[in-house]
Formats: sequence, structure tokens, C-alpha cells
Amino acid sequence: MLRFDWFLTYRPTAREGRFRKLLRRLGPSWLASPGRRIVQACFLLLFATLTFYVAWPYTAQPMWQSSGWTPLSVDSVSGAVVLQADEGTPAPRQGQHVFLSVFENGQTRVFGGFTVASVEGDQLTVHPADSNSKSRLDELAEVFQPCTLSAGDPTAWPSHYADELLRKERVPAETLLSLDPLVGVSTALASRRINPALYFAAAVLLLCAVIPRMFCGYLCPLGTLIDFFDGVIARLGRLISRSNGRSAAVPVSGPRAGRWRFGMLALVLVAAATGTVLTGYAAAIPVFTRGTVALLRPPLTAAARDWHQAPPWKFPHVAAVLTLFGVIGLGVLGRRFWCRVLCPTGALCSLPSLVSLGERRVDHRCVECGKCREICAFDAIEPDYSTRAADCAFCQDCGGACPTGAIHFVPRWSEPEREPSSAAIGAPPEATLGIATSRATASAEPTAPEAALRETIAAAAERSVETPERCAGDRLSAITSRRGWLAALAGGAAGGLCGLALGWGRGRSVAIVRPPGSLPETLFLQTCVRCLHCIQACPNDALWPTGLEFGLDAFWTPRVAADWAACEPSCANCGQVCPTGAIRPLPIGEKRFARLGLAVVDRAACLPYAGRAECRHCVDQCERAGYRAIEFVRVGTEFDEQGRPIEDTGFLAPVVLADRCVGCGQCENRCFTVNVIRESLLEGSAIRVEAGDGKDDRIEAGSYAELRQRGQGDAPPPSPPADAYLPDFLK
Amino acid sequence: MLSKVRGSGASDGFIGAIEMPAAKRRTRGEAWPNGRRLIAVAWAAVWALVLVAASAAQADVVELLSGAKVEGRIVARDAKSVSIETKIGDKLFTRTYPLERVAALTVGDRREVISAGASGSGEPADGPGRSKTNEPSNMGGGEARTKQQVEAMIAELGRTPPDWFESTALNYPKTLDLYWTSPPARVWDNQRYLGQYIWDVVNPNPSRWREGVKLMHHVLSLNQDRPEARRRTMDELGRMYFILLQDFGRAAFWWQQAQAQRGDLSGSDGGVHLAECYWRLGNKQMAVELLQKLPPNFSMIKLWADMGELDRALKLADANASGAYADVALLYAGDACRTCGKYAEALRYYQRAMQVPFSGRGKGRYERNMRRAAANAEAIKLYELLDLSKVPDGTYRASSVGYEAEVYVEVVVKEHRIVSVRVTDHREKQYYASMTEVPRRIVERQSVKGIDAVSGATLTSEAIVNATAKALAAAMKK
Repeated sequence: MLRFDWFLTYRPTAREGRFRKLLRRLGPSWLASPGRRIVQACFLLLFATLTFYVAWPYTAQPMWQSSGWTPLSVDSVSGAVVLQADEGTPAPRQGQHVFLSVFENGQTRVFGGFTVASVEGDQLTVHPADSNSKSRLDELAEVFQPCTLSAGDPTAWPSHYADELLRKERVPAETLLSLDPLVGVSTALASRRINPALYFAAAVLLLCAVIPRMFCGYLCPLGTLIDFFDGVIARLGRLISRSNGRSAAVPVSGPRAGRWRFGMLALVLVAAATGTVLTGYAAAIPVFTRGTVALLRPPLTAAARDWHQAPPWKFPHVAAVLTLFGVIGLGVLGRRFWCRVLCPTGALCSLPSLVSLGERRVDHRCVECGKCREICAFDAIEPDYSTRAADCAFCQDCGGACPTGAIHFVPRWSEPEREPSSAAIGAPPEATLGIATSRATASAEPTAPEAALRETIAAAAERSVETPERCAGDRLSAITSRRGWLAALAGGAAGGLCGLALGWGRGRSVAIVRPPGSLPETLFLQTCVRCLHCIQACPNDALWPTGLEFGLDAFWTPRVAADWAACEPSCANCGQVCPTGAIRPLPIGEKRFARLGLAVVDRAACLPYAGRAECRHCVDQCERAGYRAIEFVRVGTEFDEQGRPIEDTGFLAPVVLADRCVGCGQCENRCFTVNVIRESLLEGSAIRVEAGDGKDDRIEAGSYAELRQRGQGDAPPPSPPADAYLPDFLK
Repeated sequence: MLSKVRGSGASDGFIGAIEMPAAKRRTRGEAWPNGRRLIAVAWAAVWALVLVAASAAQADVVELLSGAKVEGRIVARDAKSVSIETKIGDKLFTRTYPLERVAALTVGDRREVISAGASGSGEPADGPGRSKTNEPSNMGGGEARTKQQVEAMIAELGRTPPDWFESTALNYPKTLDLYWTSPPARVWDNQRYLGQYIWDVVNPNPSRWREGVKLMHHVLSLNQDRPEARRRTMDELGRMYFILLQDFGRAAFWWQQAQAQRGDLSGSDGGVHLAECYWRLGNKQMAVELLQKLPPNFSMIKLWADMGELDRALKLADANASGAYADVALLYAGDACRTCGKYAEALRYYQRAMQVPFSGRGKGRYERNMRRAAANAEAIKLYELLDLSKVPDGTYRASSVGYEAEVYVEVVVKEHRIVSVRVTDHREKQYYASMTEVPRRIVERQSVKGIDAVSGATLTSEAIVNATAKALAAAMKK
């Protein structure tokens, strides 16, 4: 008969090898079903790697560059170019592909790609890597000043943050988030739009239809963490009870606190149907991601860089961490309390159990010792030892705990054993146990629990319990029980109210500056699961979680805090790590054109406009960032009677070119850093990024680059036919 | 023997006697045992003598089909290629060209035409699409040209549009008046009056300079029949080509046209700028002659210094060092000394400039000059006068403003060498490797000059270099 058993069969303490002893030290469920624990650990590790290494931006370094290489010899025939370095110039490796360029007249001239043939002391021989660079050797021959070597084209738009993420991303960084089926389902329902997470959700739900609640028992890193803390709480309880003699132990499997999780699911789904996403508040992985990011990002940043780099903790951070601690802390009410009672993702994963292919069976060997009910963290075993199908997470702990080997995991269609097999009847139950052996050797005293167990088995043998195989109970009953219906109804009603209330409040708030490539605002709010994953991926913390100042609806959504840091030109990571596509995954070539907003100068505050002082920080910063979207105008020019300007009067003030500005906030950040923080000249930045109609590009589909080109095409007035260079009188 | 390279890419003056290929020898010499090194040096010296004697007469020249010309010494030639060596500064350059791209070779006094298309007179061949490399060096080549050559160049350049002219859009506000209408008294509207538009919008923005010149050509064709507007436009064209684009040939052309019409040089800063054009185009004599005709003018100080005539520059400055414009005179004198590499003198002039009291006129100018003098004095102290041999052993600290705030640096000097540079405190956010890389580069180079910024962290890198320079300068024994 086909079996899905992967638990470790029970063996008494005396016969344990070194491996089992190690497992026992790790905990009873490690001993019962180590495979499951290993899978859980792997997924927790995967979560940690993806969130705190792959999505973590600070492994990126800008393109390698080395200047001070004089082209001593250029051989246009063989292609060999000998370069000599100034003292202390870092040299490339042999075989490295480098770009050769020279900076002259304020411009960088690139001579194309070359391959390093040899490095000898301070001399380097390179050969053209392609026909383009070969054809430009004659141009290089005319250069007698030091050149620059770089790992890539130095005139290309920088992309080191984006490249670094793609390099690290063997598995999509948002995999774990996408695996939470509620993420995909609820956002798709709210936005009436297919999103990438929906495919993952379908796959996970299918998996749950084969192995019931596989997600909860094996994949969910939050569940794993809860398991860990439940273990800690249990140990603490044992310690306390041992010290004061009273039982302070947590109930092994909490009281049946009801299946309110179906109510939570209804709440989330009905709210989603009204267009409000509550997923982020309750679904497992978003709660977990948000909590860990809010908690661990600041110390990680501090460790990698310094504390001043970590943005201050605000209410949204505190709330995110408290939510996570609250979820874990529920463990004092019973093991996996959150998962059993409240988790809407868990409820969604329970639904395929109605049709699941695998199921837990208990055969005639059951001696009703209660070991399985004791170890079950999901409270999935009825007092009569049959299975609560909707709750069982197929963790197989019971299988490994069962001293008589009565529990198996089998395909649902396999015929239940109505009668005990003849072989099983003849054998005394303890023989299957191996307890006989331990008695025979008598070398090891059986432990107290094992002695008790032996008595139970003996009693069972006397009673000669021979029960038919116990299958799962009525699958529907779990969900269709009156309590289930009540929970679902109440949750649904609450969700509907909640959704309508939040949706009604939407649209009245001021436009928030969103990450580049964000969907149109309503759709964005309907798609964002508030997981803070984008914030984790954002270099310099330009993205912050929104507080309550923009309404409950926008709580925890990402916004650009340009005062603190600006959107990095070489990065497109927020969209890459978004699980639902609320921020579109854009290549860097698209992202650099996606407008977050428009920089607006406050002429009353801006130092040159106000006639207070010279200041060119925003213009210089925009230039450095590569957008060149702010130019100067002279203001306050004084002039004589003939209307001629007086030299050195007035100030150069910034003018934002709307057709070039993408609202990255570099200017705002610079003004804030210098004029507000460092010089205390202003109350707030005099140039600010504003989002809103016509100021940002919030499109569902299509190219930002094309949008920008079209915009520019419309902008300049049709110019009159160009005049000849020379006027007629000079011809 | 003189060696020169002429071509569109070569822009600096680099005339120097050819010596032994010293750079190459030195690197090879390291591998040689001591005894052999002596022999090598002696042999090299003999060879150098022979070479100088043999080729004292004239440089060899390779003329390329592209129009570029390389002068130096032809060191190898075979059926397919030719190699020429040329010395610039203390570096010896070798360039090898396939003969199919060579127009003609001159070895000694014999000129050999290699490819068809090379004209007999030595004029560069003219190919389609080669106009850029054909253009006479217009950006201040430092090559000597006769008066006739310079005049011919001005006429030729002035009558050909620059290569960007066609592709630059004509762009100006619709409200702009293109006929130089005088604005009413006390009205300033930079979207309406041409001069004000140029002053407020074009001049401050490099991205609008070509566009502005294009506009001015348009204005010229609109005002052909109005002599006063026409003259003004041409003066403006000269000014824009000179100040904004550093296109000296065209600047000179338009100023000459304006002068021909009106008879004065008020458009080119009283003629000083035109004199500079002559010098930049290769004839110092023309510049000197013109300057001597002109009434004294502050901008002459800079030009005299640029031309290497520091004495004349300082004479002019000293004559004005106590008047109403003492600040200008002293500042320019400091700049002049700095240009000519006299840093100690420059520092003294800057320090005198900083002590000039405000004369009561031109507050903006005065303040700016004070700031400039202070900044230049600081830069000279930090970079030019910094001498590690005068820095005693010790650990020195200083700070400089980076992107966010002060970056603090600690420098350790031992036996007049920078042993370590360490950033001790900072508040920077995006700094990549600059915190370790820039100190490493400073230690490696044993200098604060010529340290490249780490890309992506320019301001932080500069702050580290600056702070190091400050620490060392403060520690220097007077």
C-alpha cells in the first residue's frame, strides 16, 4: 500500500543510537519527524537568505575604475596598446575586460572594450576586444594624456545596485512572500487583476491538496519561528514547575479556541472584494517579513555601516515589530495558537484539505495512550484519535510519537483496514514496540514515562481493543460547523465594513510619493501587502513605511522619504523584490525614466530666490545623479539706467525642467542635508518632490521611457527653419 | 631635435628635445644585475649622442589620411606599417600605423608620398566626414603660427559653421523679442528682452550655450538691415564663442566683423579677449602688439600671466594695488603667480588681497573676491606648498565637510612618509569603498594631489583628501 510516511518510527530510549539521542535533545518533534524539521529549517534559512542577503543592498559596489593610464604605445596594426600607470594606480587582472576612456573638455570619450593581455609592473598591454574598439585605435593614437580603465562603459547609466541584486538572485528574492497563497489571492481579488503571486498561490494550494496544510507544517517560516518559541515557552514552563512544584506548563495542545481563522480569512477576502487589502495585517509571511525587516534592518545596517545610517524608528516600525511579537507571544495560550486559531493564510491552506489526496489513519494497533494528542501542535486529533482533517498539517509528529506504530499517512483512496490483519492479531503489541527486547536485556532501566506506557499497552492488550482503522472525520464538518459558519459570517461582515470604510476614506489624502514604477494609487493600495520588502531592498533607506498621517489605508505602505535619502539612480530593486507587482519590476533602463514625482522649488524659502545667499546644491546634485533636470536662472539682477545688467548682482537660482525631472529627490535630500541640518538656514527643504496628477508616472503597463519620449516630443514649440550660419551680408 | 604631435586629440603644448627612451630603459633596468646596468647606462648615453647628432636637423613626420600629423622619430618601417616615437614631457610615446592609412612620410628632409590622395604641398587630405579632424586646432593649441596663418584661420573658421550647429535646435521663449528692443526703464523681464534672456537664462546654463549661439545667429539674420542691432549681435556672438565655448577662431572672427563696422573693440573686453584669441590661435606677437595698444585693463593681468609674462602681469597689478580696485588687482596678481607656478608669491598676494578694506562700491564683487582669495590661499597651502619633508613625525587630525557632515581623519607621519590615513568619524550615507580606498590611495601615492574620487562617493572622497591635506598642512614646520 502506498504510504506517505516520513516520520521516524518510535524506539524506546534504551535502544536509541547517537543520532536519535541528538534528535531527542533537540526536542520531541525533532525525534518524531526530523525530516519535517529539516524542511522547516531550510525554508527559514531560505527566508533569512533572501531577505537579509539577497534583498540587502549593501553588497553592491560601483563599477571598478582606475585612472592614470597613459597610452605609451598604440599599434594600429597589431592592435596592441601599452599603457603606463601613474604611481599607486590599481591595475586590472590579466584577461579582464576593460573599457578605455579619456576625460577631456568636460566630456568622457570612450574607446571601447579591451582585453588585458599582460600586466608587467606598472605597464599593461591590452588588445581591442571587438571590431568597434579596433576601429577606434586611430582615435586612441591621438591621445597622449592619462586614460581611465573601467569594468564597463563609463558613459552608460550606472546600474550597480540593480546588477548586484540580479547577480545574487538565483531564486527570486520575494519567493517566500509569493508562496503565501493569501498574498496572491487577496490582492488579485482586490485589484481584479492577475499578479505574479497568484501563480505561486495556485501552486501552493495545489500542493496543499496533495499534502494537507503542507504550507503551515513545512514551508511557513513564521510557523517555524512559532514552533521554536513554543519550544522555548514549554521548556520555561517545565523549569518553572520544577522550581516551585506547581504545574506552570502550557497546555500541550491548547483548548479548542475555535477556528476563528476561517473568520479571519472571510474578513480578508470580503474586504479584498470591496477593494481593500487587509492581507498585510494578518497573513503569515507579510507579518513575518515586516516584523523581521523592521526589527533587524537597523542593527544590520549599523553593523555593515554605522548607526547614523539607520533611519530612526517610527510608529510603523514599532507596530510591525509588536505585531510579530504578539503573534509569537500567543504561544503562551497554546502551541501554534496563531496558526490554529487566527491565521487567515492557515485557513486558506485548510480549504484544499477538503479534497486533499493524503490523509492520516490510525489502525487497530492504537492503544489510546494519548501520545499523539500530546505531541500534536495543531490540535488535529479528536479524543477518539481520528483526524480533524481541516487542522492536520501532515507534520507526522504523531506518527513518530506513536509507540505502537498505529499511525500512517496514506493516499485518501486507499481502502481503510476494516479488520486487523491476521499477522497483527497474533503478535503482542509490545513486540512491535521493541519493549520486549529492552525487557529481555534488562540492562537499561526503563524510564518513568516508558514504564507508564508499558502499563497502558498491557491494559490495552487485556482489553484486547481491536478497533477498525480510524480515518479522518467528516472533512466538511470542520469548516461547516456552526462555529465555523459563525466565525466566517462575523469575519466577512467585519471585513466588508472595514473594506468599505477604508475604501471610502481613500482618494481624499494628499498624494504620497511612491517608489518608482508603482501602480496607479488605488490599484497600488489594492495590490500592496505592506510587507516592507521594498524597504529592505532600498539602499540608504529612501523608502520608509508610511505612518498613520495619510490614513489607515496607507499604513505601512512604502513612501519616498527624500529628506532622509533619495532614490538611487543605479537601483531598481524595490520593484524587483515586490511579490505582487504593486511596484512593477522594471529594468534599470525603464526605471530611470519612471517619474516618482516632480521637484518643486519653494521660492519663498529657496536661498537665492529669497535673495539670502548663493546656493547651488540642488543643481550640482542633480547633475551628479545624471538627470540634469535643474538649471539656473539669474534672479534679482540689478541694472543701470540703460537696462544693462550690473556684473555680480543677483543670484543664480534653480529652475526644474519638468521634462527631465523624475522626482528622485536627490535635490530635496541635498537641500535638507546642507541647508536644514548642517547650516540651519531653513526650516525644511526648499525644493521638494511632489506627487500627483501630471507630476508622476503611475501606469499599469507600458514603457516609461516611451512615455517620457512622447512627453518630450510634445514639449518644444515647432522651431522655425534654421537660418544659415552666415548672414547674407557676409556671404 | 624637436618633436611635436599635431592632431585633433592633442591639445596641450608639448615641445621638448628628444632624449633616450628613458622610461623604457628604467623599467627594464630593474631586472638587470648591477654590473650590467652600468654598461647599459654607458651604452645608452653613447647611443643618445649618436642619435642627437644624426637627427639634429629635423623631425620625422607621419601624415595620416585622416589629416592628423605625427612628428617625432620613425623607429621602424616595413612593407605594411610604420612606427614613430615622440616624446612629450618625460614620456616616450610610440604609434604604429598601417601604411594604407598613411598619406606621406617625411624622414629627414625627404618627403615620401605613400597613398594617393595625399597632396604634394603637405596639406592634409580632405575626405568626406573628416571635417572635424581637419579643423585647425582652434582650442588653444600652443603651436606657433604666422600672422597670415592666424588671419587665414580666423577667416576660414568664422565662415564655417561649427560641427554641432546643424544638430542644435533653435529654442527660445515665444515671448522673446528678437530685435534688441530696449526695455523701458526699471523693467527686467528675462523672458522678453534678449540681453536679459542671455544674461539670466543662457549664460548660467552650459546646456543652453550652443542653443544660445544658434539663437544669436538667428537674431543676426533677422537684424541684417539694422546696423546697430547687427553690431550688437556680432559682439554678442564673439563673446559667446569666447567665454562660453572657448572657440577662439570664431570669437575673433565675429569681433573683427563688429570692429570693422564700428571701429572699436568694446565687445571683447576692450580688446583683451581678442588679444587672447590671437595668442591661443598661435601668434603671441599679435596678442602683445594689440595689448600694448590698449588702455590698461584688469583682465590683462591674467592674459599676461597665461602667456608666461609674469613680470608684465605683476607690474600692471602692482600699479593698481592700492586703488579702489585693489582687491581685484591683488587677487589677479595671486592668480598670475599661481598660473606661473610661483606658489609662495601667490599666497602672499592672496593674503594681501584678503586684507583690502571695502571701498564702498561693488559689494557683491568685493565679497566674492574675498571668498576667492581665501579659498585660493587655502588651496595653495593645502596642496601646492605641502612638503612632507617638513612634517615632523606624529599623528595629526583634521576634518572636512563631506556629503552629510564633517569627515574626521587621522594621519600618521613617520620619517616624512604618510604611514596611515584613517577616517575616525563620519556621518556619510553612501560612501562605498571611499573610507578605505581613498586613504589607501593617499598612502600609496604619498601625496594628496591627484587622488581620484571613488565613483559614487565623490564628495566623501574629496572630504577625506581635504581633511588629510589640512592635517598635514597644519603640522608643517614653517
